[in-house]
Amino acid sequence: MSVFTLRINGHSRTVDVDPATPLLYVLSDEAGLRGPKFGCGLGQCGACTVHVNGQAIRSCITPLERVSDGEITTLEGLGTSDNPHPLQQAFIDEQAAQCGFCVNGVIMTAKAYLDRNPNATRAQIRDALSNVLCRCFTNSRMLRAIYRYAEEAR
Amino acid sequence: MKRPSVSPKLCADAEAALGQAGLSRRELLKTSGALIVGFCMGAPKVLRGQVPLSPPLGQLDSWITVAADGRIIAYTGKEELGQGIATAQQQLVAEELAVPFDRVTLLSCDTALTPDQGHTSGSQSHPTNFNGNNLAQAAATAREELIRIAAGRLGVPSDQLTAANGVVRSNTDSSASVTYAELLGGRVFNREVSPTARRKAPSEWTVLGQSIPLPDMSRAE
Repeated sequence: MSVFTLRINGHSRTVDVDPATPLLYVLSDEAGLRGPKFGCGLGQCGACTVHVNGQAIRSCITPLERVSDGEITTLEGLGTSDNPHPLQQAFIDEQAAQCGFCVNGVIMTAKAYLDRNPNATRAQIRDALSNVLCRCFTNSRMLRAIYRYAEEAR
Repeated sequence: MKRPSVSPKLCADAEAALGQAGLSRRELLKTSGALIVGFCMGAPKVLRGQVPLSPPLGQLDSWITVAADGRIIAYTGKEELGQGIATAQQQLVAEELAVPFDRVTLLSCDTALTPDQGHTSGSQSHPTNFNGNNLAQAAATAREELIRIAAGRLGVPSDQLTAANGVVRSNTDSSASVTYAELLGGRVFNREVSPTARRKAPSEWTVLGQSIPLPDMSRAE
């Protein structure tokens, strides 16, 4: 076990865990953050996506020791129920979820991509999201929400 | 995002709604169960050691209750999985019973309280509960039954009465009216679902066809 002082959503948090523990488990079990989801556990579906220094990573296959110096942002760090981030609000406005399990990965992947590529075309946005699985019939609503956010943010 | 879970809310609603209804659904079910025992004498295996029973599909009271305050409580065996079927069913009941959307409380998939409609899967909830039987036909039957009772109460023929906003009113004398609560609040229909009760045509819809946000995708105002 090792002690780490992490920066999560702008707050410091000290944990005592095995350095190889997946970041997702630390966020869920130590920090109580349930926005990132355990989907495949293999880094393939994207449900566990969080940001480390603004970059989208798959927290289920990322050992804590590799990112313990970084600024970690989860879905909860974007906004709250009372004051959602504009991208989260766009998802509410478009009613863009069925079961909602993949939404964390969709929002976090889109946010990281658009932060770096604010003028991305719709085709580029679709391409950036192509590795986030699921999205069911609300796929088109999710894309509409992301386009809306991207185009309003310009 | 805050995602309040649906089921615990429904359980609380169930208690409140039944309290409002002024009747014990268990008592009602016991009565229905006794009826079924009578029908099932030839099939003792079904009876032995089992206290069933989901509310019988053919009975109007299995689907619809008019609470003491006039709220409508509807019971369904199709579950909300994020696909929006709870909202759609609430719209359906509001439409057929001619009450506002938010005056309907929908209870889903409680084995003691709601009809057993099998799985919620394969895009079958909509054809099951919207196409001329089950919940849709029960709601239409309930509207016609309320109008029938109102006809006796008001001394006006059924075909000269219209149900709207939880009130049955004479088409020719607007002072002749009676509310659902006055007609049946807290009591049971005690009749079967009618296969011939008239469903509303899409051209008459005011609640169905509206886009209503999912309850767990709405922001608290």
